Amino acid sequence: MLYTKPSDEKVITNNISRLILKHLYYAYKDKPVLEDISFEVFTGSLSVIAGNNGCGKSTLLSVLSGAQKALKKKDHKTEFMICSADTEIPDTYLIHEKNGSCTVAGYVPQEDPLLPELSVKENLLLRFKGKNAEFKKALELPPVKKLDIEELLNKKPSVLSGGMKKRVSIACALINDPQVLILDEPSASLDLSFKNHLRTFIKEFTKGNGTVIMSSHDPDDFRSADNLFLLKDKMLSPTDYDTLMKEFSS
Amino acid sequence: MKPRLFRSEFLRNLSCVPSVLAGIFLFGILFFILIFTGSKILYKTDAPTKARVLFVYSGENENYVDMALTYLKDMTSSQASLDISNRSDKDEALNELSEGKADAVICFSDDVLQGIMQDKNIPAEVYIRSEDKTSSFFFKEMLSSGVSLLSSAQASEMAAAYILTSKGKENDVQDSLMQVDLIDYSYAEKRNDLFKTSVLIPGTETAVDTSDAVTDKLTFIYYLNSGFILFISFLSICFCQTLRKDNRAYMDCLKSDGMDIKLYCLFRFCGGAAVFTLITTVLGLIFFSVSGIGVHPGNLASILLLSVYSIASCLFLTHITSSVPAAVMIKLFTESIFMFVSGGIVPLAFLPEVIKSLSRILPHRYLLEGMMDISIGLDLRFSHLFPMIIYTILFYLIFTASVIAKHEGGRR
Repeated sequence: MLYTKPSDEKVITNNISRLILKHLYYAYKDKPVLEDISFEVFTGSLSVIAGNNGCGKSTLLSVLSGAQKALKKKDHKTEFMICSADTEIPDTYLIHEKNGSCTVAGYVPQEDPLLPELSVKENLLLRFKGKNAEFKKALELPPVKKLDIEELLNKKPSVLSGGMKKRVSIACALINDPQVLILDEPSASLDLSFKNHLRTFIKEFTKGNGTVIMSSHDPDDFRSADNLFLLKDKMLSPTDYDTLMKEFSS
Repeated sequence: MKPRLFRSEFLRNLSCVPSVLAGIFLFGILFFILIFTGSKILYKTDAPTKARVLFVYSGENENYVDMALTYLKDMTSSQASLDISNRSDKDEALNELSEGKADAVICFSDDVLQGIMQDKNIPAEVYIRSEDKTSSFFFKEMLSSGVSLLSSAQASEMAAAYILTSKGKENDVQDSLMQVDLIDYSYAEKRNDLFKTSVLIPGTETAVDTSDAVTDKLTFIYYLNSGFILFISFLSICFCQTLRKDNRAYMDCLKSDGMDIKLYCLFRFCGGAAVFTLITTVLGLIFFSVSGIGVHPGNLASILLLSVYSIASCLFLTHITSSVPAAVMIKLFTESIFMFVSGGIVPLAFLPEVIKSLSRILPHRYLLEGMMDISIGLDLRFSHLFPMIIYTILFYLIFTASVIAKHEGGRR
């Protein structure tokens, strides 16, 4: 795995062991949405973030992925650390800092991110950071291969079903071989067979030392999570399945 | 990733090709009809080709008036073949006008020549029998403009030279011409405006061959150029229709991958402009070759700039409106208004002063002037293109700013 800093200095992080986030703050139009978010997740784990609609799950994931910038606040020094077995790399840029192209995380937003005018292959190529000659190799990466998108390469997203689109979206996020996959409600509005397929895929991805951070409303996802978090009142707190189910039933 | 982003923007804009082709077909037919019927009906069929004009003048300098009327007659030779005759009394002439024996009456002030020589403009009065027809309106405008031209420096020079020559003072001609040169050039600008307009009134340049073929060509130049600008502007509406609003999820992914939003906006603009200018350049080459105007670098530069401007305005509109159909409607409406106010549908000379003033802030007016200049053999000046460059940059900057505000401003 490579993590490229803005200075193009390559830092080898082959053995990422943990991801640590401390004191993340985010506000929209001066109104705080996320306050003092901290967590620590280990490599090869599935972390699920639960919470009511509009509580800020998507915002948190988009900040983690780099799509949104975390804000600085007095007394809140945001830290994001990618830790390997023997060293800690304080990621002062977060993943998302300007020009900080990185392949640590692949992000799959809740909505379809595919360009309808382009074919699946062109959509993948657009997200691929390697050379054109290496693209075929990237399609052979085990996680991408498991998504079974070969037959879809020349099709336009408009002719694909919801499940197929989601598979392609995940492939787009994985095409640069990231070690962390950030999924925003990946199974929302999709059928049961796709949900099962996705669950199996995530399990295999984490087995291959990949880390998954996702938001979900699905109790089955909560059950299969290694780390379960509840986002409530702008704060993120670790929880367990039973507490979470009680919380939702109340 | 950057070259790929440009490539993907280029490719996604290629999806506009079917709708642009349909636009070429539909608007092509529409503008073909407009150009040909416009020029034939408005200025040929219904125009008073044999106008009987009475002039009233009781002053001493008849030579000047003769010269002035010859000048007027030459100027309007093929548009309105003027049958000019003299009347000593204004009331008598006006009676003939009301009885339908004449189409127009021009009353010169007695001291018209003195006025010119003393740097004063004493306009002649122009009366037209009927103003209920468009052609009558144009006829009056033409005569009024023509008469005001008579007090221009050129007419003064001609008159002064004629008078002095007829009095046997040929040696003084050069001196007097130099004197006259200093008299009054305030009408030079007006005259230039008229010449711009009078291109559609064939025969303005008396020195050029005013055979039918040439006059026909001159009549069409205005319509061809304005028609083509209008055509490209309308074609960009078809392009606008295929532009989608930025997909939020897609933008999030790009940002997550480290792409700068400003760069994205630049590629989006460049990708669209590349596709559209390719189409319009091909169309321009065909159009200028077939129409007889001829392919000129200035013409191509004008078309390229117009295309780039169109894309900038389309992106801007697509981004600030709630939906693509809304953007298309606004584009259609604004382009039509812009072209009308810029004199692209009816020549500016026939439009009220308010519209003429408004046209000065619109880029289409200058582009049309530039293309007209090229068509009659003059060079394209930077001042013709400059306003459109400014508008293009402005639209592009607002588009970029609004994208940044939307996608970097945060998420609710």
